[in-house]
Amino acid sequence: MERADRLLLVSAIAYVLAVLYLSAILRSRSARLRTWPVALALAAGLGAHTAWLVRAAIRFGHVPIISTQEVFALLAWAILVYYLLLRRTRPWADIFGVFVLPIVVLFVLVALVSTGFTLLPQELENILRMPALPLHIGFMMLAYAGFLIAFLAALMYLLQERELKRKRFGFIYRYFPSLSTCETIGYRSLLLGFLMLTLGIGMGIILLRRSDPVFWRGDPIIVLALITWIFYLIVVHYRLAAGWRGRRAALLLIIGFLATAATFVSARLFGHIL
Amino acid sequence: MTIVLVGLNHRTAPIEVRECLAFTEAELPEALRQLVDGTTIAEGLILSTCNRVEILAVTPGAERAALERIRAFLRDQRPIPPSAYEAALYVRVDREAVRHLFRVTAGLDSLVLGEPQIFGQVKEAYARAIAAGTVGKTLHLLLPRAFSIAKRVRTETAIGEEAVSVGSVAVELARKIFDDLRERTVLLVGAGEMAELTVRHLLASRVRHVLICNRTRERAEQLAARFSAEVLSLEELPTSLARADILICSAGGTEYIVRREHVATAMLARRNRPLFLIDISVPRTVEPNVGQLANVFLYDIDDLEQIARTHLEHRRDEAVRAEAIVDQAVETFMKSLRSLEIGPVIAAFRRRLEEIAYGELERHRRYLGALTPEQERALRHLLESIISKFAHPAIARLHRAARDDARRPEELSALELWSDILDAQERSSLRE
Repeated sequence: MERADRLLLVSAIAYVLAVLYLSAILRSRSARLRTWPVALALAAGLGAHTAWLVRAAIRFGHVPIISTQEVFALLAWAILVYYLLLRRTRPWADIFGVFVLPIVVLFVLVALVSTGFTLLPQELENILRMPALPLHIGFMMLAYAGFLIAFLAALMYLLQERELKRKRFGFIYRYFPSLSTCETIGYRSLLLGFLMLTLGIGMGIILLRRSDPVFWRGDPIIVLALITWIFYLIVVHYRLAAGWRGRRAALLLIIGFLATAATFVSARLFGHIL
Repeated sequence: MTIVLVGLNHRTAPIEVRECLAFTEAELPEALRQLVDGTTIAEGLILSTCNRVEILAVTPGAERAALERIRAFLRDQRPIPPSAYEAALYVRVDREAVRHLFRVTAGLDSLVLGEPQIFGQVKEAYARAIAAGTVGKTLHLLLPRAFSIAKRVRTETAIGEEAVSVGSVAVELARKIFDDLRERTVLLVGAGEMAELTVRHLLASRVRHVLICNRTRERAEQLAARFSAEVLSLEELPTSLARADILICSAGGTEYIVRREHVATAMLARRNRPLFLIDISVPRTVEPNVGQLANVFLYDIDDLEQIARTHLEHRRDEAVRAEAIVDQAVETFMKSLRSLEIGPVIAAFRRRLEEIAYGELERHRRYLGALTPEQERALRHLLESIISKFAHPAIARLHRAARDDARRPEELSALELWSDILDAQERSSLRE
């Protein structure tokens, strides 16, 4: 590990501590444990994490989004920021944190073990200097984070709904937030994620126009991104217009997330910047 | 000081006996003053709930006399012959009395294991005894301890966590589906007692909108007045289904009142917002396959009872842990009680020694002549350290005895003997 990556390690440790303490609060089922250590650990982790991103940006002179390391670090960061935004609004997000934070930790760990990127091809360097790029990347990351959280909420909804229908109760019944909470988190994350995706794709199109004179090459990545966008558009529409909620909405969110993940992974595989 | 407890509860006596022995709120102050005479019984507290009548007393003397007095008190105070309840009475003394109180306060002796109401009832009994002036040092030590143990049991075990009655299970499930119940609407079909009880549980969770639908409109209106609810006719039921989030069905009859097609239509109108159906009627009045519809959760009385039973089993597991907490607390309490008891004895012992020492000093002062302040201080210091050195082994033994109560009586009587000896010396020196 490089010296500079120590900041990332610090943030990973802080996140692990936060999630451990959070589970301790849940397990003890008592009001005796205060929540401020969680906030402290998260603040420390987020501080180190942000510092790492800023340093990476300065070191390479571009937005930290090129190497696998940078992508995962930034994604983890976006998820965490999103979770914190949720957490501030209502206390139930605490329980949700036990499910979200391990993913953040996982992504940071992936970033830690992957290697950084040093040299860039010249044409990429040019794109990277465009001002629309950080916006594009930022929006896309927030969209991914939103869809991931919506996916988790939907998964929790389905698991719990199954228990309630089968009338056999265990761990889930005891610890999960209510169905309506899962649904609300899922719905809000969906709306936000969709908004971000729209903005991100818009920025992406502007970038492409600038860097490539041919507008439409039938690029599979762009096709996938558009399919994802249309899919979420349909989900949002039916949710608003036809009251698709509960089980069906949850299934759609899961499918949508898997599609997004596929877009993301193939974008990485084919070396594109999304 | 000995703590005694005499009482009967739901396990030892039927309701007919319990209700005859129970004390009303108005009777309590006078009864407490009758019970505590200051000689046989120094402190007293009466816990009277629908499940138990218990008298907790502290006696400075022998427990037998105190028990006699409590029995006599019950005979005089209650209009029922002792033969009717004598067999149901249990007697607990000292350590066992303390344990019993701790268990009762923590809900471990309750009809519904781990229920929290008893905690408030013991608090109430304590407050009434304080108001009547029948609480002294011992009970002031014992009751707050009982409360803190009960709280510890509640936070450190899961004994009170899951719902164990049909009504509270229904509320728990509703919370699992809807989270916040404030903005939800409850529709009551049929106005039976069980339904009313469930609605009460829901109202306690701050449900505000209640609709009642019943075959006989009078009964519905009676109930509606109590819950400030809206009354619907049975014909309106299918169309009103869409308005309800929680439906409690307790109607009689052999036909399904809530049918699948009603619910399916309602779900469209509700735009798939979840619907929680509780069918507590036997035979069932909600068509069972309604539960297969998406976003509809149907529970019948068997389901609810099954959940309550499972939860009660969990409570029994947790009760084992709670008993361990109580056991440990009883030991700790007995120790602090003994220290409380030996405190006055030790003080009296030291006081006697000081009286003798300073008495002798005054008697011999005339031979000492005028003393400088330094000499005066030195002399007092000399006396104090002789007293301390002399008393120390005896006091240390007493403290040890307080910690290990098997040796206590001998130690205490040894100290009484010492006081007697000192007293006798004093008397003989006076005679000189």
